[in-house]
Amino acid sequence: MGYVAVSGGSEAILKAEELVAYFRLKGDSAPLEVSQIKEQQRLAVDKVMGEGALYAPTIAALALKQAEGDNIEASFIVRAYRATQPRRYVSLPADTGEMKIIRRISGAFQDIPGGQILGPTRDYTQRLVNFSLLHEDQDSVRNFLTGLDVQMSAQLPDTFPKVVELLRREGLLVEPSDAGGGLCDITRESISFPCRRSAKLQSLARGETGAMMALAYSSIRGYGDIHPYLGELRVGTVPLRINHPGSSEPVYVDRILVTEAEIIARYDEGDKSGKPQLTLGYGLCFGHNELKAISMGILDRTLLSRSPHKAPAEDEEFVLYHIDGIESSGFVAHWKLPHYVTFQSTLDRLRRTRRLKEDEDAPAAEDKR
Amino acid sequence: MLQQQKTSGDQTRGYNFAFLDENTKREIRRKVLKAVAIPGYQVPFASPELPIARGWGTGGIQITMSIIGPDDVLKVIDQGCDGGVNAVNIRNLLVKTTGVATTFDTTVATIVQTRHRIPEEKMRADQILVLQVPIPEPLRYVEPSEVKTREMHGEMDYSRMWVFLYENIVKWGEITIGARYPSLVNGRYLIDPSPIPRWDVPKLDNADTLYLFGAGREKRIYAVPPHTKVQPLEFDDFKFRVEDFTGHSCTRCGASHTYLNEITGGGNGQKSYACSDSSYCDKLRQARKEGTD
Amino acid sequence: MTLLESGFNKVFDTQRIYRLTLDAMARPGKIVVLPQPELYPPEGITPYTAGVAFTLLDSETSFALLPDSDLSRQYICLNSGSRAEELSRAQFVILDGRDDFPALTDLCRGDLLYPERGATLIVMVDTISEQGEGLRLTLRGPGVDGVRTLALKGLCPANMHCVQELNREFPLGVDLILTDQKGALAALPRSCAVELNVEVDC
Repeated sequence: MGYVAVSGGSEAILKAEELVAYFRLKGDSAPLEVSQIKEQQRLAVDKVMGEGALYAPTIAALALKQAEGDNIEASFIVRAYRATQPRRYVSLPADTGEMKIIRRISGAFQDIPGGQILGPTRDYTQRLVNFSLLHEDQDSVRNFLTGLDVQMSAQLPDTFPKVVELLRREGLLVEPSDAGGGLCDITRESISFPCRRSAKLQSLARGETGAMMALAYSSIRGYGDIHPYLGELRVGTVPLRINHPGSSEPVYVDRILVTEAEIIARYDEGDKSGKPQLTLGYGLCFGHNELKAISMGILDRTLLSRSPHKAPAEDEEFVLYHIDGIESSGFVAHWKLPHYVTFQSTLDRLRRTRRLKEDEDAPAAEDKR
Repeated sequence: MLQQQKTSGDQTRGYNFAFLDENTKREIRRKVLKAVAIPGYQVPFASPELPIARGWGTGGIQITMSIIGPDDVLKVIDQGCDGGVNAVNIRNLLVKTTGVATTFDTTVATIVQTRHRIPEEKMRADQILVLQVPIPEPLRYVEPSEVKTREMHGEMDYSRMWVFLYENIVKWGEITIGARYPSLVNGRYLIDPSPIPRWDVPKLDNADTLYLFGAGREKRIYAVPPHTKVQPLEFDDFKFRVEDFTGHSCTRCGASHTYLNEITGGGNGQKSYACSDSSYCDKLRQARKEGTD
Repeated sequence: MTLLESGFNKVFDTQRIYRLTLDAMARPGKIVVLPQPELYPPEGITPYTAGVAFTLLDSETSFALLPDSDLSRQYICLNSGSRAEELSRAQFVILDGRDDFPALTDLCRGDLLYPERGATLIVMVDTISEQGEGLRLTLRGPGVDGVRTLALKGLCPANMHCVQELNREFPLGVDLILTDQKGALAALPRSCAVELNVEVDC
């Protein structure tokens, strides 16, 4: 019975852990190398870094291996790891204008200074299953690579101007009304509403891609008022610098890969006496994750809404409380925990209510006879 | 039974004592003091991630980790049972990172961490009960927005909860809330006592022990100090009622004064009952056996 | 003389001090005794007060000292990482209870939405006892079984009047941790109804 489970509980957990490892390893294939995941599944690794909120490609790749490819589980592992890391410095603001581009496009403009650089994208491929990948081996890979002459850094300029600068110069762009409010760390204090801009952007930057995509989708389909354009999407590496007590100059740490999306939409909630303008929705996340950056930019914009009847994607509390994959998956999954005590209490209420109903109906039934 | 697990170098290598870094512990310690000073008020806290999933007890765990010391004796239960897989998992994490002694005996523990039950044996002034909370906000039944519920608490405006209960009675002849029964603390703040059954709510009122509530995912800490008035909401003509086990008793120990789990077992679908508080049940069973020997 | 402490164990000493402080806050008027910490603060701060301060303060908090002194401020900053702040915004105020500080009326009491923002006072007095010399307090409320009395020698009544005024509109208010010269500690959360019985001038 249940009470013998005193030691049964521990045993069950250990067995479950063993089975997890067994299911991962019981096939005939060679164990995955973390470097394979890091190099050949880079988009999964980037997604995990972004949702785990820790820029650590090897840890993210390892987490994916440990989690058998379960993206949310891997992000959870990374997030928990992040919480154990000491917080020694805060980086200086990174200027994405310094980005070494691998991809840079604009939907709002046909031609942009520096040009539209497609970079590595599947956007214009046909989604047909590539069966040749079943037979890929080291030789075919080597042949492909030597045949291909990729010199990205030689061909591209070091930096590209920002498309939104064109709009700023024309006076068309209004800065978000909630800009400023100082930098806070949402991992050191829980968010409160109305939310400071840095708290909002941090929450979005670590948000789960699917949740953000669904909300952004709802908005652009019509649950909301904004009609967005993609001003610019850029993917590349930006340098990070810190102030260090041992140096009078900022110290360069490293470059990180980020995806940045700047969404432009008409802004009608401003001062009606002035001329209408455009405003920016800003999206930025670790690694190469375009859906997330674009969704983030759209949500940044929708959350500016001051409408008294907010669509879900315009409701700051609704969006920011429900896009964290670690929190949402934890709570959704927690129904698997025993709830029999609370359910017992619910049954008690239900049975009593039914008895009351029966007592109520009983005289009527009598009369019918 | 006391199981001593001394801290070995291997067991705790690489971990802070009680896992959390001191900054995190200090923030929780500060917030717990404020929670105690303002009984029933939900104090926001940072609640950084743990290697245990959100919704699975991280709030309670963080409080325990912040207050526990090497000389404490720890009991961890889920649904009243020490052996539930979640309780085992949490106990393992706490022991691995502190080396504290553990027990199944409520009367021997100095800290009891619990999910969804208050132990049957009355807890003392030298003990602390840490409760795991999924939804700290009692007003969520009537209001989804945190901004609005914060205002309602600030102004002590609980009218919508009263209306909710009243409408229950009008519609069903009975209040529908089972566990998580809204209760007023110190005549001021309405709390969600966590999903403990109504059976356990009276234990909060004028108790000897300190109750600490932790909601990790929602990032809130609240407290009910000892000797504090806790009143489950009721009407003059519709009083608060605990779960009804009339006519039933535990098949293992014979008790009819404890909260019982319904067990539908065997091919014939026969229903039987057993104490939810497994270690108390074991004691009663032992006593019954000794009584008949 | 270096201000930086090295003997005090930031993990285990603080945990022990905290449990005693928590017990006191949960049971207003209960007197607990702190173990003597290995701390050597400058004149004006007792080792017990320093122990409580280093248990609760860090780089995420702010503090003020009454009376203020550069040396004491440096000592607290250096050993806790906490930053000095003006009185009305300080989260923690370390106070010599003997002197009269009318400026206490400026302390942050929190607000209805966030009452926990009200400050915490760490008050140094000469002696804390149940029935002994000094200012007599009668305590009722959460954490008190019926009624409790506390006697505080070396606490200027005007300071206590200030605190009572700050705590007049629960849940707004400030919370007190009292320490004496021998390591006794008691706490008065804002939830506690405090009646003053003996009037003396300070």
